[in-house]
Amino acid sequence: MIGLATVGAGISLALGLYERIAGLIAKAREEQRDLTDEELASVGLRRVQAENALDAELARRQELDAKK
Amino acid sequence: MRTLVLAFALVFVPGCFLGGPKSPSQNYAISSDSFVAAYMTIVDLSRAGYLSTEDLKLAVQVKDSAKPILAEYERLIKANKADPTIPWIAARLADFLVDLGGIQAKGNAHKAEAQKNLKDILEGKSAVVPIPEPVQPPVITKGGA
Repeated sequence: MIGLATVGAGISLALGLYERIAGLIAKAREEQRDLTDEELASVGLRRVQAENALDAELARRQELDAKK
Repeated sequence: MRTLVLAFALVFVPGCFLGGPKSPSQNYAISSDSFVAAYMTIVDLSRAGYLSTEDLKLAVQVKDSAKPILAEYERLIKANKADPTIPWIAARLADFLVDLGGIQAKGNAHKAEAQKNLKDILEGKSAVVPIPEPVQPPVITKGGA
């Protein structure tokens, strides 16, 4: 009975370790892979939008200053 | 005990070695997104009135200086010519991020001061109107337009 419980616990531990290692490998692969063209385009687009937002905010502030 | 040692060896040791360097394109994305975050934080601080127009002009100047460097970085990445280090790009971008960080720090300091004053009023430690006034008070228009 004790032997059976030990084997069960061992299998459970092994499965847990396997999942953990598989997760680590998947994460490492994800971090080390090259971005696709679409992903690169999306990165550039995000930056352009933020740059435009900054320009628009300055224009808004200058307009407010001019009204004073 | 032996099981614990085995678990450590199987999980943590490979974990340390798997966290290797990111790909050049991932590094580029991280750099670019750092600028996006800095720009948007500055926009938010300005809208809330914690940055002056001069601060904002400075941020736009930094943005205009960083733009061609980021564009060159993007071009090199797309052409697969980007070395993971690219020291000159990394150094320039780091300088720009420091400049943007300084502007954000200014806005955050104004915000913290305003929050402290408000807290003092709510706790009855002060009866005066919260100071500092926002650097650029929001304009309230008729009908909320």
